[in-house]
Formats: sequence, structure tokens, C-alpha cells
Amino acid sequence: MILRAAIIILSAACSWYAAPALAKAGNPEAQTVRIGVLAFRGASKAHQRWDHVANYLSQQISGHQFSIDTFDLIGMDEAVRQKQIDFVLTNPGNYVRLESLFGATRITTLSNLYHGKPYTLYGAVILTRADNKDIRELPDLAGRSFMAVSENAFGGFQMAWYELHQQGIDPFHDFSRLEFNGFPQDRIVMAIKNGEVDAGTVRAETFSRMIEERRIRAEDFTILNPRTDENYPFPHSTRLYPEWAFAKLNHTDEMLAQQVAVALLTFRENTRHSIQSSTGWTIPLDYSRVHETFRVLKIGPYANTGKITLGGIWGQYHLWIIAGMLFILIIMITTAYVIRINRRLTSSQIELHDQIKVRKQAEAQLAQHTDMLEEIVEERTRELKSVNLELENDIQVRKNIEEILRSSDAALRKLYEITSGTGVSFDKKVDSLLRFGCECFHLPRAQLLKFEQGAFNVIKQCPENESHPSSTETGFCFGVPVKVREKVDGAICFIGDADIPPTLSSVDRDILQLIAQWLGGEIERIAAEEKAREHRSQLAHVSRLGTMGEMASGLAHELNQPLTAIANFTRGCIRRLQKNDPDLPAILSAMDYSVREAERAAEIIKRLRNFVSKGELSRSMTSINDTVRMVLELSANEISRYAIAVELDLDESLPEILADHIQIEQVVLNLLRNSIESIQAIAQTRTINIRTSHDSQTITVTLRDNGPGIDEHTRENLFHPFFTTKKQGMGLGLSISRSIIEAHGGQLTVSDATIPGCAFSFTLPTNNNHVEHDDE
Amino acid sequence: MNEPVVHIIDDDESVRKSLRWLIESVGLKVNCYASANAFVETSIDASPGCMVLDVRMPGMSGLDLQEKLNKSDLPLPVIIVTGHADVPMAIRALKSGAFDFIEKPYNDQHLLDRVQDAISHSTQSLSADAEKQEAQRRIDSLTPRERQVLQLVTEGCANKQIASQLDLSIKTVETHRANLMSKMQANSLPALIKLVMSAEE
Repeated sequence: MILRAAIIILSAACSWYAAPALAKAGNPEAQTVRIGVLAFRGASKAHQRWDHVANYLSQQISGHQFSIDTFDLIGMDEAVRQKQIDFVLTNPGNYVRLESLFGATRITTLSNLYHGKPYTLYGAVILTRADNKDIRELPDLAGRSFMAVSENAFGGFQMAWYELHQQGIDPFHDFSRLEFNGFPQDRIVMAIKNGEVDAGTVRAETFSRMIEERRIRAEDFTILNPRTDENYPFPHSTRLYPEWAFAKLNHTDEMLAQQVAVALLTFRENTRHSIQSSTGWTIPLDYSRVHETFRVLKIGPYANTGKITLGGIWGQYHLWIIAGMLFILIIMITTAYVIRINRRLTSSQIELHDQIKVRKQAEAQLAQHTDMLEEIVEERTRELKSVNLELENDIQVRKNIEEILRSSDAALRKLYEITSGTGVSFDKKVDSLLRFGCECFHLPRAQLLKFEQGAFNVIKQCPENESHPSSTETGFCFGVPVKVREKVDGAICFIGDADIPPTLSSVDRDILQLIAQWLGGEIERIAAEEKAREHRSQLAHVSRLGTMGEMASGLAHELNQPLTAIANFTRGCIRRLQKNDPDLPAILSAMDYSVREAERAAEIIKRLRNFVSKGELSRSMTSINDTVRMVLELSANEISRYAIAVELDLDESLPEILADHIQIEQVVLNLLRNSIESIQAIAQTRTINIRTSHDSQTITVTLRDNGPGIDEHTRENLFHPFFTTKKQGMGLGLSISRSIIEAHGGQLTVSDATIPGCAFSFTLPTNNNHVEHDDE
Repeated sequence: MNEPVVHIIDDDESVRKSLRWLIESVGLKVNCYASANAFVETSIDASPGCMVLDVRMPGMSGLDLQEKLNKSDLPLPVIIVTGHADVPMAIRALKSGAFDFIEKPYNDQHLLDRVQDAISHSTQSLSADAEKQEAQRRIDSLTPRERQVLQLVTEGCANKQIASQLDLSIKTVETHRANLMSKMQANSLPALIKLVMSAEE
């Protein structure tokens, strides 16, 4: 292998030294291959630099004669477009331009040697004088003078331009002076050194080479935005870009391109000891960074300048175009406005003429009308006088009527007072009414009759001590029937001593009718209430039986506990006593426990009996706090079974009220059982809070739980009979509870949905004037 | 093995106390817990014993506790006591592995008999466990080669067959066999096979 490599090198070296001779000899059949080289330092320098590459390639690739053609940037474009050249060797900036415009493809990248180490990247350095203390960063360059090679030089300007652009500096606007000095770049360095310009940019190698040649001293300069890179041995200021590219063009033969690439890649070995030791080739690098820089700077293939487009014209002259159009618009509007005003003036002139004519006619008519008006006024005055006379008569009549009304008004007011009195029993109201009737009609006696079994019986009379009722023989009698549900239920009757009954005015008759109607209504209402009360107490009874049934199993469990304990204690004692040497004190203590458990069982049974024995319904002075405690005792078993914490917040100054305590107890029990059932669903600590409070008018009892609460549908139907959310239950509990509380003159309500959990409250009046007639 | 313990879990203090009194009268050791949670929080050593649970308790119910215990490897048989024996609950308890289901009020002799049965059940399963673990421990102490020999021995192979199957000399097989007998602490082939079987149970 080593041998083979050596042979290749040797033969290549031989052919290399033989190359000039062959080239001079010329090969008439050889095909000419032209390599276009970018030469911005002149054709002779380019030939000096690159001719050996062409010679080398002619040597390596038989049948082809390679030659170097030199171009500037514009000439290069033209040559490529006309396919005058087959390969290009150019800087990265020009390469990416040719790549975008003509589809050039790089096949190798130039590689340089520095102290024996190859590098394939290059960058530029941005310099200022070391004693120029005001310039330390790139942004400090704004407003300064700057020197570069040329606008199109990639290493000599565009690399630095990109870095300046990144720092927000536009070299064409922000510098006080921007000079393009051309080649050689050394002159830019010298210009900075001599203070001709404040700063400038050159290829990084140029600056380092001048230092090595001792033409300048490094400490005289400051490198702005300094960077170092292990792949590039020189200090630099810009990003690094790949070196010059050797590229094939679209029309270049693929095979030839491959041969060239292979030849170039082996180039360095062959020329290791030649004078061109600084040049070699490497695999093509990635030029996307150059593209990016051009894209950012909007130059090269990304330049949009030079083309005349509508957008471009607009961009440049839009202010003038807008101003011109605005001016034309204003003139048009003004003209239109003047024309319109003219037209309007003409028409209003015509109108004015018409109006003057009409006004003259109207004045003539007005004079005529004034004459007529005077006649009419005379006639009206006559009419008014007669009307006035009639009115005086009317006023007299009305005064009489008012007199009558005043007396009947007093009577009606009295009637209203009697019937609407609160806290007065029906009986007393009837008495007052009869007495009032006597006074009103100036009669001595009145009777209330009830129609039963085909006859009217007197059930009340006024004055009460009058022994005999129907004295039609000695006097007269008039009465009105009392109707209940359209049927004659009785009659009210007034009796006088004189033979001739007094004439009753229509007002009197109305009053009589009113009394009869009120009586009928009251009798009907009392009957209905009686029926409702019976119904309610039946329902309450049913509900109570239901509750007892539900509680029975809980009570059985509760009773089972002490019984089990008693059995265990006793059996344990027996077993110990059967042994020899029993521990008597321990046994005695166990027996003691056993007795205590028996008492606990007895207590449970007593409580049960109390609950069951409360059968009859009656109202008595009741302590609501006691009722609440009683209910809690009854439910103690369930409360502990579901581990519910009950918070009692009882107002100890609560007054006793007149109530049916069994019914109130039932309400509290219903609410508590609802809470217990709903609260079972939750996993966290279950809490029920019971609170009593009062003010001068009412007592309020509130049960609140932290259960899941009530949904909207349930809330709407909560108090409807037979609505239930429970698996077992008739859905009567809350509806009965509400009717019980309302019968006591209170209200049962549920908290609104905004509060978590659920709260029921009921109120009861403290002074029960509103007592239903339970005692009747 | 440790002394058996009866664990009583009941929320009612007097029932708990009276049960302790009754069960201690036959000389058993008793531990009481006021709730299932209290029991779960106490660390229980691997003594034989049993549990007496009230099925209805606040917090974790007796059935819940039993299902939880099934998932652990405490070999404690559970006797469920209830005042609410209903059929579904009894089925659920027995299905999830309750030892027995006793309804309140119960006959004290019946309860004590069932407690004793449960304890002896627990004792047996604990000692079977210990035996199995010991046999497994001995098998684990064998070298891979000895284990191969053991496998063939228990399959009824003679030394000669073993030697040919494992490609060993008869002498080597004999040495392995002697070593494994001593490691397994078996003085005869039947004793060895019994040990291996108990490990495989």
C-alpha cells in the first residue's frame, strides 16, 4: 500500500515536472477546458497565482488542455451566461451568486496552509487605531469614516458589512465617510495607521501577514469585535466563511468534473515541496452561511435593485403620488360644492316669490275671519249663561247625595272594622255584626238562623237576654239568606216592634247583603280549614309511622350492643367462676359493667317508648331547643353510625311558644333525616349544624349540612307532594313539614344554591295570635 | 412460634371490653382496636391469631378492612360479627375470604370454638410458610451444577444416568450428590424429595 502510494506520488511528481514541456509541445487533439477565475487584482496576478493549477490539471487529465481565463465580476456573469467557460474559481460571494443565477456547483474548496496547518475558512478583520479610545465596539463606528476594498469585495467589505448590519449600523448611511480603495488591501491598513480614516476592514490574513513582515506593529491597532477560532489561525472580527470555490457549471461534463475534483483533492500531496505550498483543495464546504449573509444584506442573488417595478416606483415616489392625487381630489370637491350651492340659491329664490304670494292671500282671509269670530263669541256667551244655571242645580243634588254617602260610608267603615279584626273569634265578630245591624237600621233585635233539616233554627240573637225570637205577631221582620257554596245555609233576620217596617235605602240593602255575604264566606272558610287540619294530621301520622319503621332497625342494632356486652360479661364470669381460684375482684368489676349495660338498654327502651306514646295532637307551650335535643337523641344511633359531627348553636334565651310540639318535632326530624341521608354521600368530615335564634317577632331554626347540596330541578320540586329523590320514601316529608310550619304561622325555606351544602330554615311567630281554632 | 393473638375491632367500647373479658377467660391473648384505621395503623408481627370484626363501624367498615387485609400477606383469618346479618352482606364477606360470619346475639361457646379454629388455621399456614421458606433457602444455597444433579435425582435418575446426561464422571456425580445432601440437610432420598416438594408448593 505504502509502496503503491509512493509510486503514485512519484509518477505524479514526474508528470508535474514534465507538464510545462508537454503543454508547450501542445496536443492538437486535446479539448480545451477553460477555467474562469475572478481577478480583482488584475489579470497578471491571477495568472501568476492560478496558471499552475491549469497546468497540473492538463497533466492529470489526458485529452484535455486546461487554461485560465480571468474576469471581473460582470465579465464573469457574461462568460458564464454564454457558456464560454467550463469551470469557475471564485470567491464565496461570487460563487453563491453563480449558484443561484446559473446553477454552478462547487466541486472543491480552496485550502490554505499556515505554518504547515491547513485551513479552509477565512474571515475579515475590522480595525481602528489603538489610540482612538472612542472606538471600542462596532456601534461606536457610527458617524466615523470607514475604508474598505470595494462594494462587491466579499472579504474586503461584505463580511464586515454583515457584522455592522447585525449591530444596527448601515455603512452607506451611518458613516461620516465610506471610501472604497481597491487593491491592494495593505493600503487600507496603512491609511488607518496614518489616521486618514477612523476604521476599515481587510481580509484577516492581510493584517496578520503585514505584522509578520514587520511593516506594522500589532499594538498600534485595535481589532473591533475580536474573535478567534481553532479552525482559523488569524484574529478576525467577522464570522468565518468557506474559502474560494472551484465550481463546475451547468453545461460542464459530469465525468470531466469528477476527474477534476479527484485531481484537485490530491493536489496538495503532489505539490508539497513546490513553491505553491500554501495552496491545496479540500472537499466542497457548505456555502449556506454566505447565502444567509447575502439574504440579510439583500445583495448578490438577493438584491432587488436595478429592476424598475411598480412597487419600486411606489416605494420611491409614493409621497409625491399621494400629494398629487389629494390635490386633484380637493379641486374636484370644491367645484362640486360651488355648483351645488348655486343651484340651491336659485331654487330658494323661486320659493321665496311663491311664499310672498301666499302670504298676501292669507292676510286677506284673516280679515274676513275676524269679523265672523266676533259673531260667534256673542252666541257662546249666551249659551254659557244657561249652562251655568243648570250646573248650580246639579251641585245642590250632589250635595244631597254626598250627605247620604257620608252616613253609609261610616256604616261601611264600621262593618269593615268588625269583619277584619285580627285575633277576634268568629263568634265575637258575629255578635258585633248583629249589634251593628240593629244600630244601623234602628231596630231593637237581630237573629242568626241556621237552615237545618228543612227548618230555620235560631243559633244566635242580639240582645242575647231577649227570651223569645219570632215575634212577627207584634211587629215585623225582614231578613236575608246566608248562602254557602250557592246554597242557603241560614239567614240573618232583623225584628222591629212597629207594624210598619222602615223603608230601607239602597245603601242599607247593600250593607245587609254584605253582612250576609261575609257570614257565608266565613262559614265556608272555617269548614275548609277544619278539613285541611284533619288531612294534615292524618298525613303527619302516616309520616310518623314511616319514620318509626325506618328507625326500627337502627334502634334494634343499638339495643343489640348492650345485650351482647351483657352476655359476654356474664359468660366470661361464669367461665372464670368454674375454674379453681377465680379472681373475684375482676369478676365483680365485670358484673358491675354488666349491670351498667343493662341500664343502658333500659334507657334505650324508655326513649323508644316516649317517642311512640306521643299519639295525641295538641298545642302547648313548647321549647324549640328541647324539641331539637329530643330529635338528636332519637337519631343518635344514625349520627354515630355515619360519623357525623353535629354542631349545636342553640339560643338559650329562646322564648317558649304555643305550638304542637309533636308536629314541630316531626318537622325537625324530617329535616335532620334528609340531611343525614344526603351527607352519607360525601367522603370528608360530615357536619350538620343546627342553629336557633330569635328576634321580637319570630324564632328561626336552621339545619345546615355540608352534603352535596340540591340541584336546580330538585330545588324547584322540593316541596311538591310525592316528589322524592330517595330510593325508599313517599316524598311527603317536606310537603308535610311545610304545611305544619305554615299552619303555625311560619315559613319553611331552603337556602339558595350559591351556598355549598344545603340549609333548611323555618320560622315560627313568638306570639301566636295566629292560632288556629283547635279548641273549637 | 409466638403466642397466638385475637385482634378485636369494634367501635362500641363496652362490646369491645366485654369480648376481651370473654375471650381472655379461655386464656387467649387479646388486643383491642376502636376502629379499622387504628388496626391498620398498628404494626402487627407475624404471630398466629385471628380477627373479630364488627361489620358496621364508622370510617372503614369491617368488610372494607377484610378486603384490604386480603391484599396484604398477613395470614389472619377474619371472623365477622354483626347485628345486621343480611344475606348479601354474608355472601360478600364469605366470598372475599372471611373465615366465618357470626350474628349477634351469639352463643359464647360457638364464638370461642370458631376463634380457636381460626387460630389453629392461622398456625398451620404460618408453619407451612416457614417450612417452605426454609426448603427454598436450602435449595438456593446449592451451586448451579448441584442444582442440575438435584433435578435429575428427584426425577429418579441413577448416578450413572446422571453422569452420562451431564457429561461427568460417576465419581464427580457422587461428590456433587453427597454435597447437596448435606447442604439440603437430608439424610435420605425420601427426605430430600419431601423437602423439594414443600418448596414447590
